[in-house]
Amino acid sequence: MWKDPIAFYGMRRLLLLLKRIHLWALFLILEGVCLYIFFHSDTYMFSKYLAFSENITGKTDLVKYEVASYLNLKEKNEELMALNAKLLDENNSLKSLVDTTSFNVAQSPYPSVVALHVIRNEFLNSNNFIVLDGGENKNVRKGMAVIGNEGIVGYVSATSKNFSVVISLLSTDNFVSSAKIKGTSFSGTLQWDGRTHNLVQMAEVPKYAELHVGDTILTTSYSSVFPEDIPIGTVEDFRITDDTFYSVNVRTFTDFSKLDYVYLLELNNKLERDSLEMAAGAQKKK
Amino acid sequence: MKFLRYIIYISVLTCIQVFFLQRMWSGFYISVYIAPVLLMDIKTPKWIVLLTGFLCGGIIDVLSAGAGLNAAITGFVALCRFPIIRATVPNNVFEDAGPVLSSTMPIMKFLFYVAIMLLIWSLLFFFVESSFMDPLWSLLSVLFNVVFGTLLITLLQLPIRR
Repeated sequence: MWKDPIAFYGMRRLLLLLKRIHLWALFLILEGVCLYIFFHSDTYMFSKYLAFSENITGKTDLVKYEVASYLNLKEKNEELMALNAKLLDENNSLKSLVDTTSFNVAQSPYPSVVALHVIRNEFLNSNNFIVLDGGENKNVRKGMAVIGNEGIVGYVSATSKNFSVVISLLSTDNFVSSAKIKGTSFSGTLQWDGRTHNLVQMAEVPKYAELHVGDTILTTSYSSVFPEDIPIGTVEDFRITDDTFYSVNVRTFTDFSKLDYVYLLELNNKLERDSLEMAAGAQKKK
Repeated sequence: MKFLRYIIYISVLTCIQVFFLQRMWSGFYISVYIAPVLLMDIKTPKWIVLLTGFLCGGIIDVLSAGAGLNAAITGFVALCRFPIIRATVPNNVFEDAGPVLSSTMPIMKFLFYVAIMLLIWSLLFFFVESSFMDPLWSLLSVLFNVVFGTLLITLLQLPIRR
């Protein structure tokens, strides 16, 4: 079979080498594949992946959530009473303003609000995800804004029939939004630095902006996800960077360690706005 | 028959990991699913141990959206198993080439061996997962996993017979 003795010895040596290093070769190949998947899993793929695994394990989370909810009924009742009182207060204030304001519920920019329970909540990693117990069955769509009782929480990144995955505001790589200082037109970019779960960072605020500790930070109209004027948090502290901008630490209104239920809403004409912005982006690239 | 028992053992540990341990402790994490890699017979061919490591980690990745990290680290731990067994397991157990269980060796030696393996796994997992951003939290997670993981794995290997 082997007419050429050099080729024969070459092949034999190769087989011996493979026999000697087969364990390391197997390890390096498998390790390489795993690390490639890990470092190249982008947000979209990861969300889809998470939605898939939640379809398998979500039912257990739901049962655990229901048991925990039952055990915490007393606490929940107290929370609801406090919320009720706050709403009554707000209602009274609005009543007194009714003749001077142009706000109209029917003209609200986010008419279809969906309330969902949080069944999985991460807040200790650098890129955190939240899983909700409703998906396409409750008209949840990718890109919807997610808001808690106190302020913004994140946005929907993937949905399955019964579950939705939300990219949390506490996400260093996947969440960037614009934010403004209440009562002014000064805005900046909001992104978490991954350190403390109740402090997010607002950058690129012009240095001539009037800024005070305790100022309220709101969403802006620049976002295609969040409606304008949704509360985010208050200014904790700030400093000048590059002699041009303020870098601001914002204490979030939302306590991410106690998320229980959230509201999902979508801006009117979001699809039209997104397509127009995408088309304009494509034209700009050309 | 032994192979079938092994598959059942891996399945049970995977269920415990995914349905209870993964989600019960917000933030903290106990990795018992690596137990099959730790407890295999010493005479098991190294490539089978390696493949079992990647397989156990891969299943957890698929079921908990781990994106390959569990598989990569458990595979590495499987590779580390050989020198660590040589260094920690008593000679008579090593020559016997049976499974590494608390019934086949002194309990303290067994606890030490499991703790060392969990320490390697935890250091890699928690620091890579947090992208080295929060070393204090990662160290706490490592400590938690080593202490409670060692205890749980010791309990979960009790039903196994030679």
